[in-house]
Amino acid sequence: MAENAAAKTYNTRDEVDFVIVGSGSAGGIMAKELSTAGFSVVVLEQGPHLTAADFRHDEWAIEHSNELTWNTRQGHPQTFRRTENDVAQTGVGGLGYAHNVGGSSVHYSGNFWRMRPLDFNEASVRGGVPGTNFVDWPISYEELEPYYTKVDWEIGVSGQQGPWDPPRSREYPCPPMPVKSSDVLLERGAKALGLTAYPAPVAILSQPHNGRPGCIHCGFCNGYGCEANAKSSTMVAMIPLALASGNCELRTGCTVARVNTNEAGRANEVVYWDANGVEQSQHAKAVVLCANGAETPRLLLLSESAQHPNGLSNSSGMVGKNLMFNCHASAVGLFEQPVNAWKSVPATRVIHDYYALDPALGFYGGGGIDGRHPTRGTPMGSAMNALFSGPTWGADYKRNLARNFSYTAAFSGHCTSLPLETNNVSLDPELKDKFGRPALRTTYLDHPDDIATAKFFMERCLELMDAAGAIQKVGTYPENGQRGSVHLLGTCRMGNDPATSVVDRFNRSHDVPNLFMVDGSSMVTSSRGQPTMTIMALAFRAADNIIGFARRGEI
Amino acid sequence: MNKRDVNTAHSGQPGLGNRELSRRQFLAGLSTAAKGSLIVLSVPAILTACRQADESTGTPASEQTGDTAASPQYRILNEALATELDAISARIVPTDDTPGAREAGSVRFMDVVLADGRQDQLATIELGVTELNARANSQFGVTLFSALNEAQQIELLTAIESSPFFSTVRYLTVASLFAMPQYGGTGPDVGYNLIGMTHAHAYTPPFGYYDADYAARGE
Repeated sequence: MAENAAAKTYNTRDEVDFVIVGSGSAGGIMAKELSTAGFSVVVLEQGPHLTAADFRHDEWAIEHSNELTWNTRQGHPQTFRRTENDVAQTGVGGLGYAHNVGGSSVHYSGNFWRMRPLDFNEASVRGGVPGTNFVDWPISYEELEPYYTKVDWEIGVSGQQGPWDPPRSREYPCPPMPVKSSDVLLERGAKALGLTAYPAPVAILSQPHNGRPGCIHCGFCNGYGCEANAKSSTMVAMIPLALASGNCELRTGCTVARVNTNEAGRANEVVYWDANGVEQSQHAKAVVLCANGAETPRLLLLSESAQHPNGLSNSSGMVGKNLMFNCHASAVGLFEQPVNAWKSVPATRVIHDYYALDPALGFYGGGGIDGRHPTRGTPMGSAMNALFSGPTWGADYKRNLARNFSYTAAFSGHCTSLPLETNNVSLDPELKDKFGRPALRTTYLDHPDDIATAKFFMERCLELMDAAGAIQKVGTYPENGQRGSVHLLGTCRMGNDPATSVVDRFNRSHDVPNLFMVDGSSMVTSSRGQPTMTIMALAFRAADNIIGFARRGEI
Repeated sequence: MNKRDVNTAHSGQPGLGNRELSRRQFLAGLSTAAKGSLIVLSVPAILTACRQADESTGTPASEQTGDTAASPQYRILNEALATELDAISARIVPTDDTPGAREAGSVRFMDVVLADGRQDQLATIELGVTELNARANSQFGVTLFSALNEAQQIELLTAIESSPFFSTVRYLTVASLFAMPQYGGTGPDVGYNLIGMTHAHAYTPPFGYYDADYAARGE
């Protein structure tokens, strides 16, 4: 655990400039930007402040006991249903995010694809999709580009400009990660098929940068905290700078109950339970919600009042709606020689030839393909698996374990999700969490185009496996729809029209002038399956604008 | 601040806290391995590699019987139950030319993780063992599964391999091969040695066969 003893503290009755709810990908950036700009900042974080020394290769704790992600074991049950006609149930699906300082940037795999100009105006360029909320963003790639570059350098990204990457104002700060065998195979397959595989950008340092060391290739990235501080979480890249500013108090173990508004309709108080479960409230001039695409809309819905009967900032009715997971597909192949894809970072090459699928296919979609370990490289997870329909127990199962762990590679498709009002997060009418709050309820059924896109990518991944020389292969995609995700996007969407969006182009609430929502919830479209780079760029941009508003007295 | 009991708050179903039946595939192909397991992969786990839903339904655990007296050497298991679980786990990952579940301390692992907030799974496991012993008796005239010979044990387990009970024991057995020693087993070496994993926390290129001469080949 980190010691915050020397950091600034504020009295809860004193009005600070900003309360930030959440310290993850967006919250960590917001905390650093606002505090170093001289504003008084209180950050409320549900989880603990861990350090590299707390992170271990403990699969039972991380993957099977939800030590970072929390669930019913920790008093935070969720429910899931396909459609509003179903009764949501526990244990059948849900949303995943890490509860700790740095949020999910601590346990993510760090694939940092920028979105392209097309992502921002695709509905206009390609045409809309009837029955969906597929629309253009109110901002362009050009407006966001400086902030993507800020992410590259301040958060720390390794990569190399690819042939179809959008224009960038500055090179990557770190060269790409060394290629893995799984991606040499991907590249061979790509060449044989006339496709191009190029170095995958990752928020993991290939060499020392900003006082942090380069990656030691231990392989426990996806789902795990980095023991070397080489993974570029906001826990290591932003929070220390925020605390060093002398203007930021980080309160951990604090779960926010609601945001209150005054008679003028301004957010003036954030009510929360402190680490001892005692109810507290922090007064503030402005509030920034960075609690992620699940918890930010949940908090707005929990903040209903006579003034805001449908939840805070929800005059549009769009809070919680348009949830997008990103869809996915995969092919696993067996090779003659050791691949050892369990070493180093998850992906080192990516194919972006299918970024935008031909409308003539009859469905909307697009994405990218990278090389992976079939089960994220972790031994226990791999052994749970029985690849290629092999036995799941007994002598033959045991014999296959070694082969499956080291001699396989996965080619993974990461693709789009369309925004639908029927896919959403809401408050469960019955189930409560340990604080007595209505549990998070997810309603989700992938759009048929998203499923078709995933199938398309599975077929391409299988072709690549053949072309790469796999001696055995199997493909999967979520044919019946997904039941959960760690990508929590779109639930407080950004837009110019207050009737159809929750925040404006500067991440300010259309309804409450001193309330900002900055996280994956702002996203208008889903990206091609790697959204965190964009969440972070949006956070830097929002911070820039909020600082300007505050200095000009416009909050 | 009142902390309400999450286990009594939903749909009249008691004890949901640790009884979530996650049928979601957590990793590619995992459904074949984890299908029906009562405690596998409680939601929300880390879903990055989450694959398509598996629509099969499991049977919720019945109420804990409460008549189990743990053996002094275990936290929650009694000696008779431990003996049968040992026999089952030894068929799931047998000891042959390399160590198996027995050497990994699978039963002690089960004891520790079941005692750690998963107590309500015990009744299911007890019931499963009782039924397995009954099958041993009706098919082979032997009152305990553990007293059967290897071929007989394999035959009985094959017959129940899609049951939630077997999936749960299988899940725990496999996990025990790779679990850190604080969870009661002997540590991850049995599993690590089997699959060629090391305790190294740092590697350098080349990582595998195909990237060894990547630059030299001009790829």
